[in-house]
Amino acid sequence: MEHINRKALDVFRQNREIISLYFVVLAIVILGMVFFPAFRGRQNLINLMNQIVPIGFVALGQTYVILTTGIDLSVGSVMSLTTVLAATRMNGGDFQSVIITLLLVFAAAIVVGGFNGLMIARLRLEPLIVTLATGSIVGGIALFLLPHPGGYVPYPFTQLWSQTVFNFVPMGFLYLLIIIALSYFLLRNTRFGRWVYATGGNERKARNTGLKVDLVKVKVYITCSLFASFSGLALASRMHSGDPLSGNPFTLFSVAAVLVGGTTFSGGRGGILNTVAGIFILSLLRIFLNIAGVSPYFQNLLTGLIIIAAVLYSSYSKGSLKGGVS
Amino acid sequence: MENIGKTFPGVKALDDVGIELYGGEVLGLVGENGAGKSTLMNVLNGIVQPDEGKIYVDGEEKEFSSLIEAQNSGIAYIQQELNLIDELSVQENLFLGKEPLTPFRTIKFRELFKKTQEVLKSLGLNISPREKAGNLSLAKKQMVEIAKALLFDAKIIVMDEPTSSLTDEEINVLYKLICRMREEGKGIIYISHRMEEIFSFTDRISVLRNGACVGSKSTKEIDHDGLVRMMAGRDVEERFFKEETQTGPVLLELDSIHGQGKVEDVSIQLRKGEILGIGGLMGSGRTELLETIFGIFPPREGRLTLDGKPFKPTSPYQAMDQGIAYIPEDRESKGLFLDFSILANVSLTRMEKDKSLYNEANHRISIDRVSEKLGIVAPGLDSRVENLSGGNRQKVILARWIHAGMKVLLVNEPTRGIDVGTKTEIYKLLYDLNKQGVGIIVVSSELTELLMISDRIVTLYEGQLSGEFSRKEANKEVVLQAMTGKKEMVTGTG
Repeated sequence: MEHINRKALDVFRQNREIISLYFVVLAIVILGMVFFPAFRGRQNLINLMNQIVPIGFVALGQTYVILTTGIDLSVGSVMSLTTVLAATRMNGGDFQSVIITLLLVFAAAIVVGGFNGLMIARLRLEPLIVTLATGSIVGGIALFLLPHPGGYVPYPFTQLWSQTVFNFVPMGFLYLLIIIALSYFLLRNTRFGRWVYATGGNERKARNTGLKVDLVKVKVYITCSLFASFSGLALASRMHSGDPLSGNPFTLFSVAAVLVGGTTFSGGRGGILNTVAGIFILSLLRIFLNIAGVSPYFQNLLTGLIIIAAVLYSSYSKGSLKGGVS
Repeated sequence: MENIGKTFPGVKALDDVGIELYGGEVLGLVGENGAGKSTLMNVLNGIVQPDEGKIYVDGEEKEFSSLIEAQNSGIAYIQQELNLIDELSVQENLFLGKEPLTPFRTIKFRELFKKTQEVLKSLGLNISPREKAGNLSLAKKQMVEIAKALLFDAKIIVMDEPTSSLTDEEINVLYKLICRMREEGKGIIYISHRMEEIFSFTDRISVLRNGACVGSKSTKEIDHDGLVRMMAGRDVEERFFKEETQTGPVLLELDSIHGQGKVEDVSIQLRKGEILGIGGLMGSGRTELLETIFGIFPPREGRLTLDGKPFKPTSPYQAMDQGIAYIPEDRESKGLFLDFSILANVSLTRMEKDKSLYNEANHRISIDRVSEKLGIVAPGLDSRVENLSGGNRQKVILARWIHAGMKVLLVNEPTRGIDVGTKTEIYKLLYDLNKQGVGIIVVSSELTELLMISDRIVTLYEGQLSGEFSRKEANKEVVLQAMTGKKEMVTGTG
């Protein structure tokens, strides 16, 4: 018995950060329910889940990248391009067209992610600059294909996302849960996952230990792009159409969710559970602001402030602002 | 290793060095700072590729182009900066890159845990395999690295200054480990500045001096003085000693300064035209003290007086403005803009002082003069600092401060990584500045150097003053004792 207690205490000690994060999530939910009667209903919870889906995938993908001390600023454009492809290539929604469109979307994402990864890993270019540039290229292609919002995402496909299971959980949210579980497992229990942490923890040491750091980076950027395309599909099916600029705000949201969750740019710290909490915190706050009738412009301002607060908190609590010593 | 040679731009780091290591022996590798020990070990471990020479392992010729290749040939390198990733657990660190996998390519954590526990237990270490490496003490991290070497059956284990931050008790544990590995027939190369350890740990000693191997002796055949003679070559040459100088009035006074980190209650005086040496081990607060005076980390408590006026440094900019100059120990990362020209590097600080538009022609004329006086060897003022040797780089920083003008010069490790010839030039330059009335504070981990150039020496131990010696009183023994507090007695040129 004592042994089990100690083990439980150990688990708690090692995961104190995560546990406290989820207390924050819980607190926000409870406060929301107390102050906003509108938030209590079933339909509102379904809305919440639907809102979380597009930001969810892309933030998970961003987590992989930031864990290796990188950043991917092209995700928004990948999402935009995905909505454009979905809205222009699916025709009436016959099975064959949908499959071909999906393959096209995933291939595009893999090309973008692979290009990012290769430029960053092999040519040692700055992630910030590379992904900013590819983001601009991909965004340009999206605008070229569909200069104005439009097109049509057929009903059978949107059904795949919006239909609810048990009359409560949207399919899209289920997909997200599956990806969360997979990512959690991948980062924790596989060699690839541990190498992601090692690369972010100290790249030089990881190389010295014989890890294929370059390969890890390429894989991470491909994963991130792929996840962004999932988000794009979710977005497209919610809009029922394509929009060449619709993905743009998600670049910042994805980075924000990761940072609010406590994963830091110094690499190797944090993880999937952190980001999931970050996603919830950000989404809940936005929903409350919506319910409270705050202008969307003001919401952006608040998002920025929240990011700064999160970054300040994590850099102070980890003591990384301490000066160097001899 | 045979006839190993390595030349870095401007410095011949290794010259025809040969050492051999047998199974079941501990080879001590000693030499003064900059003698080439680390470079030699970097060559052995594939971090640096030699220009000439060959490496044989078990009679087989090897060429290592990376650390991993050396590891695969059974060489483990335990560097001063340990190679553990803080964010991963002990077990993950031990098996990083060699994780046992299930058919589904996931890690067999149970096996990882069991094997890690076994090896840790066999070393008598009480460390949980699941603990994050970042939570371990330095000593324990070191043991984990040794465990890693044992786990993958390394035949050759290189340890670079393993005890520099260990307590006596931890050193004992390490000693037992080394004995055990020796009994198992492994070959160990042990690098240390601590003579006591070299004599008690090793079977044989190889001595490096200025990039050449000056001899290998069985430990039994040589005594302390003999070894020091081999390392130093000759007794320190008298002619570079600073002449007795008339020192002026007090220039800088520290009154019970509490600074960054451990620095506590330090009171010292620096006179005009004096070189004050500060001795102390790594981590004694010597660098922090200089950085406090230079305003990088403003003092928490205490008073400073400069030229009779109260002085409160809050930033390097402000300290500079008052005539304080600082040459950091790691000049490449903290002092110089490597891809800028000499001109750009030297003119920087003066520009701040002039508070007028930058006139390159004016700077060029006066910097040219300074550069000539200091004897900076370079194709011209426009050459990039990156291409200069260590000694010339140091002169560039010195030139910067001379160009800007200063009252007090703080120098941290004036001759680190600088070859012997240039060292004496640097000393002379410091003496010249001294004559012009500049007060100089020198921090050096080379005791010989400290004794040679200082008019007065104070020692720091754990952030507090532990001794003060005039030139007449100072000798290696008493200064070292003061530097190491009273707990340890270490002799050597540490």
